[in-house]
Amino acid sequence: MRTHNMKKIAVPAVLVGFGLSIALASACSNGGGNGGATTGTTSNTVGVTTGAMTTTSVTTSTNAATTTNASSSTGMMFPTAPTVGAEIDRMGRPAINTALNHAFDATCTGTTCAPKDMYNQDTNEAMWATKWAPEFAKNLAILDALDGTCGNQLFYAKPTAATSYSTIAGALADDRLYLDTSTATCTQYLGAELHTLVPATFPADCGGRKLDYKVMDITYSALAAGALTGVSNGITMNDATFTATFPYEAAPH
Amino acid sequence: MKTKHLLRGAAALLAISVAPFAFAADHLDAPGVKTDASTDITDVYTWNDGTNVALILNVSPLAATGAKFSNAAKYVLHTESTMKYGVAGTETDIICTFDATQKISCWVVSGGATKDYVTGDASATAGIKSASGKVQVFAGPRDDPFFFNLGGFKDAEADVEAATGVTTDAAGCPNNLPASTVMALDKDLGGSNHGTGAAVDFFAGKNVLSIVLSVDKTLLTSGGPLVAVWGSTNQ
Repeated sequence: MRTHNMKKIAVPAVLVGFGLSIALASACSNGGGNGGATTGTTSNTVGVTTGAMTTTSVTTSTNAATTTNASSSTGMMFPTAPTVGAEIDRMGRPAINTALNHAFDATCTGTTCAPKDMYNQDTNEAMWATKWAPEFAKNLAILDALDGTCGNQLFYAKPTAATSYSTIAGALADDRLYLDTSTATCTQYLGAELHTLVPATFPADCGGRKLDYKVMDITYSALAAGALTGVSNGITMNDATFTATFPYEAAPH
Repeated sequence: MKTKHLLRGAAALLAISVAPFAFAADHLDAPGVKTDASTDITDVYTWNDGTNVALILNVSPLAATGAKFSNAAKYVLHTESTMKYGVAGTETDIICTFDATQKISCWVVSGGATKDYVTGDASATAGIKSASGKVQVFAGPRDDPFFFNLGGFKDAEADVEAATGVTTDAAGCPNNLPASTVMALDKDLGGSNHGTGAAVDFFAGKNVLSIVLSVDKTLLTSGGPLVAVWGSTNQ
């Protein structure tokens, strides 16, 4: 790996292992988040009425976790939330199901591609990393060659082995955007994950995904060359201008 | 569509072809989502906007004028707030539905309780706000904010396809691409017509259907300041 570029990432083996373990830990931590602990608030009164929704004073403190009208901490009564059914599509980060799931093999031909539908329909968030990382690693290996050099992908584990792409595969299979709401600076796609994994190299950043982030250049660069810049698709900004204020996106054409 | 061989090497080890699904953000990513564009997610965005968190869920790639959100589906933004990366947190989902007139209703749900709710015609750029003022939502057609030189990637695919004798290393990486292929790839990715022309943004001039939310941070950070976000469409 070339190291003359400040943006190049040389991750010590110990950090690589650390990265994998916490990526997996993160992905496995989501199963038990909902304890059904609904807490009604006592004696809150909010005197607001809007549209069809009437607010009331809520005095119950033993609201069971049901799908009936649930009380909020503001004491407002809301219509019953709908039950969410079978999943049709899902997405966290850009170019994951498109580029890392059977993107380069004959599994997907014509109009058939069962694994991509399976990915979209997989609601078992706790097992995402375990289930999808092995497939992602195969695709990451091919994308690593786009710059003509193997072994220089972000978080690549040397020596070259079947597990060399496992770290980044596990992190990306936890397919969610990470946003640090406590950090005002928002300049870097993947910024929250990178700062956590390698704080000495990556400054604190809210991460997330802003509209103008060059996500495809960053993806190309990280996967082909192990850098956050350097491999560009030639398009670095949108055709229409974003606004800093709501609703942020440009008017339709 | 014919099956293209990305790396039709002499080595029998490799039988790599290019799937007929778009290499985009999430536009047209699988056969199942192509049957109804209104539930085909194109992109998810999130960032800090002052004391609020901006969240966007876009669907309907290459949306035509008059395209509508499904009135049978749920549009969901899932969040989990934690103290730090890798530590279990608190899940809060924003679930939105539309009726036939495209009036939107969104619930902010955590731990089985609805924390906030907003409903109405959110098609004006100012959108609508919940009674608490903590949730603002817009829903309607917008410019597709995704930008990418899709043709450049396809050119790169074609050039790798033409390479012969390619084998992979122990990690699965094609490690002996011909120098001519490597040079071609460098030009392909950032241009058009194999690098002879300027890059073209395939998504320029295209529209999507967009759900734009601005949500008070306090609704999304009960488990800590680090928020993981993903979007889904559901039955």
